[in-house]
Amino acid sequence: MILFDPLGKCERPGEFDLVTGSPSELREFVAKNLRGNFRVLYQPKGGSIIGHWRCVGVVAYAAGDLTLAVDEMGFLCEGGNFKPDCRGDDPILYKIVHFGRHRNIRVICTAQLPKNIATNYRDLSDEFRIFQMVDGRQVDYLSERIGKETAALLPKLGKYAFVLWRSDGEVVIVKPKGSS
Amino acid sequence: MSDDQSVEERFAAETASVTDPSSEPIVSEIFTPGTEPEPDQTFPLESFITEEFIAAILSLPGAIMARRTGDEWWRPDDDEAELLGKGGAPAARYLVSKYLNDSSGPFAALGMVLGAVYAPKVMRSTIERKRKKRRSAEPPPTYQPSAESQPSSDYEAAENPTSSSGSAVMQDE
Repeated sequence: MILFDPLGKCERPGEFDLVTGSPSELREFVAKNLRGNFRVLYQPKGGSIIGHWRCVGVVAYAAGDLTLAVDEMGFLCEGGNFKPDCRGDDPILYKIVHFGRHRNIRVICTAQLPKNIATNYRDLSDEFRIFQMVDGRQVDYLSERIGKETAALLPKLGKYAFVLWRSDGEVVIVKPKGSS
Repeated sequence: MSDDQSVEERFAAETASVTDPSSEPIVSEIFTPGTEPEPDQTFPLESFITEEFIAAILSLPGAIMARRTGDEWWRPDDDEAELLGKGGAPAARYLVSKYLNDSSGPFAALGMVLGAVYAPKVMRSTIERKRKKRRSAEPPPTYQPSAESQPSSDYEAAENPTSSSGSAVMQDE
């Protein structure tokens, strides 16, 4: 598993086998552990975030058979589209989202706003966990994937409660313990 | 296994181009102070392109031309002035930085300055000339008071060319 943490906000770095901000160090570590299990926390230090992401994405796609977690997808997508790659190639996230399944790559992400998730990624996602949302445009954007009935639940959610939606049709409202 | 071997070979081949972005030279470090910086490094677009910015850009030609509407010269009101202040400065900085960095920098800059100074003047004088020409070509409207209306004695039809009869244009004092 590789967690891309662009803001360096991960509070449990001790749970990872490697914490790095260097693409070459990441590449070497993954090369040595291609056949094993590992957990890497990648926190960019200097340079452009999109540039670091490209390196992480290339390494993850080349390795295959892993889970790629991305915090703050807004750094990589905007307005429902993938942000352009820093080198003018197709965005590596596009490649991973569309063709990662051939290499057994799973992607998890967090996003403050649904529109910070590219439309293609939204439409190919199997599961959402969505907290309270009142902005009509954002809710509409999600409703195209999760359905209007599920989307109608979002503005009514309480603090820390969320809707769990799965592509097989399962919808669950999860509330924090102690809340009514 | 050959599959394992191919995975490692594939990994090595596909990641061969991975370089450390933090070690790549940043444009601002290449150019010494006083020389041309990369426009996007100096003024990242996303930092100031807002609705106000776009509104200000759209209102800039109007501010420059100070076009004439009716009998009054148009002047920006307080809101418009605020918009111009917000958006005009970064817009100007962006344009200057963008075109000064072009290979044809000095000429482009000179063209921009000359254009900014003379284009409004030329356009305004052209508009005024056409307006005068049109006015001189048109016969002066004749005043024909209708039976229903009693216009005041100090009203002159020529002052309001939008009315042909003079009966429906009486304004409150």
